[in-house]
Amino acid sequence: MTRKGQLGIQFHWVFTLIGGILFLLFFFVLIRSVLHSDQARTTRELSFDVGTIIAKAPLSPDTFSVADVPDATYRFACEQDAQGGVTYSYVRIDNQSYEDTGLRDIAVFSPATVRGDQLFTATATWQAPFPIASMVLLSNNRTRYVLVGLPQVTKRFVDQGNLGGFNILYVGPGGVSSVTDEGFDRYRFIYFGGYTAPPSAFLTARNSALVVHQDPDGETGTLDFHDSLAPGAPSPPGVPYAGEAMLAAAAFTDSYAAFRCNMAKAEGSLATAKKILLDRLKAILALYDAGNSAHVPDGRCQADYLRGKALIEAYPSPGEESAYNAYVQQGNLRELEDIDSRLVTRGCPRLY
Amino acid sequence: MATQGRGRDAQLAFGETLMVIMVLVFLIGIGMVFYYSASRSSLNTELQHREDVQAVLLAQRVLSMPEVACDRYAGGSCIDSLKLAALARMLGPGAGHDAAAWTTYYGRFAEAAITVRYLTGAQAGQRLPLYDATPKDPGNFTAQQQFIFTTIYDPVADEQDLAYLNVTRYARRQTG
Repeated sequence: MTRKGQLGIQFHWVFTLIGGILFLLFFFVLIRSVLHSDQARTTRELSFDVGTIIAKAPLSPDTFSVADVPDATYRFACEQDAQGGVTYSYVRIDNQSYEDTGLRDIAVFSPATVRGDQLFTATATWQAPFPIASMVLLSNNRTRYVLVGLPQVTKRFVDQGNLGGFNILYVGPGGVSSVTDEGFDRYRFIYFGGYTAPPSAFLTARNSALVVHQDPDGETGTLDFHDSLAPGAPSPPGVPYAGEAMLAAAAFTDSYAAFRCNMAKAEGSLATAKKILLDRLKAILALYDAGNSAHVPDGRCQADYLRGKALIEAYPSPGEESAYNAYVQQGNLRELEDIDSRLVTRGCPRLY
Repeated sequence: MATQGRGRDAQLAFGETLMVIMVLVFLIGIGMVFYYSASRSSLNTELQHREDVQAVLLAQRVLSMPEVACDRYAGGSCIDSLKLAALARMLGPGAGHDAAAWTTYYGRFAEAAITVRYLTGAQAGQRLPLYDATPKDPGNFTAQQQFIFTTIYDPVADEQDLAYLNVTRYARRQTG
């Protein structure tokens, strides 16, 4: 073979090699792009589905629902800035991050991590005593809630919040030591009364506890959060609560920080609810003052209206949390509710 | 002569290979165009479906807002007309406008317009604009409209009125 022919054959091989590499590269890029697009699509769909499950939960208050989802690890997070404003609130599915706009104004109370192929949701309406905000309680069958206390107290808590569908174990005041580890992902002990340490198998960082000190009215009291049952783990000082919904929210959140952050969302509605209530009361009283006998409640209503008006106007300013808690503790809201009940039984228009 | 003939053969073989590759690349190119257009069409359908779901959720959300809900004595889930009117005053442009409340609700509803129209009762035929954040550049948005019927409780007259909510949700057009 001549030297020119040899060169021609070599060029042929070089050409085939370069062409082949380009061809393989092209298919590699194509397949990668298809796979990536497929994964992005699955992730997007999953994110949308979970977002919809959470967003539609408040639409059916006081109902428990089970949603089937792909088997994954769902991490819920809510972050606040130094001023207490909510900066981020998101769900992360198998470590994939999602934009948080959908969750920023929905108060979701859940364990930090929920693993599995089902999500359980229930919605409680926070009332103090007028309706303020919807609170979504979220968990699944791999988180067990151990309710420790007198049966009438623990059963009442579950029945009032329609929480019977969650994974709940009832234990009498002295029965914590008999609880055994049945292999659930995490355990949350909720004590109605004094705290007694669970068996040593539960004293790990993945388990947590809440100690509820109820006032005699059963609707207010103080909560002690134990974010971790690991020996030596710190626990913040007791925080006051008002209403069954707030208690349920605390029971479903395994960290005080997440509870505070989501409560900040609900408290955002408190100011609006209060203003709406005041405006509504003004409208009713304006009708009353106008002396329109067709719409004005009779004389039996007058005293309660005026007292109710005074009570509503005595609400602390929005954001004054300690003043608000003090207000709740003073029982003014209870008095307002009593007034409202009397107005209803007398056929007067309601105050809230 | 023989060398010249081999050179022409090699040129022909080279040209043939080149043609085969070009045809292959052309076919793959057409396949890709079809794949991406189908994928884009499917994505648009998916986005449209999501926007429809979001619009329904928004309308339902308005109906289930605890701050305008009737109290427990009014027989369950309904909207209190006085609370609704109070909220409309807070979110409207008039004297009762509340900037903080507007910011809160803009965070919830974003670009949307919500109006209540009473069908029965003392306010029959009246229209109550509740929230209006219609975008200033509507050309860049798609709009989904939902009508939802509900009952609105008048606590003064102690009557339930029939009404519907007209909810228009605007979603920014997807570019690219």
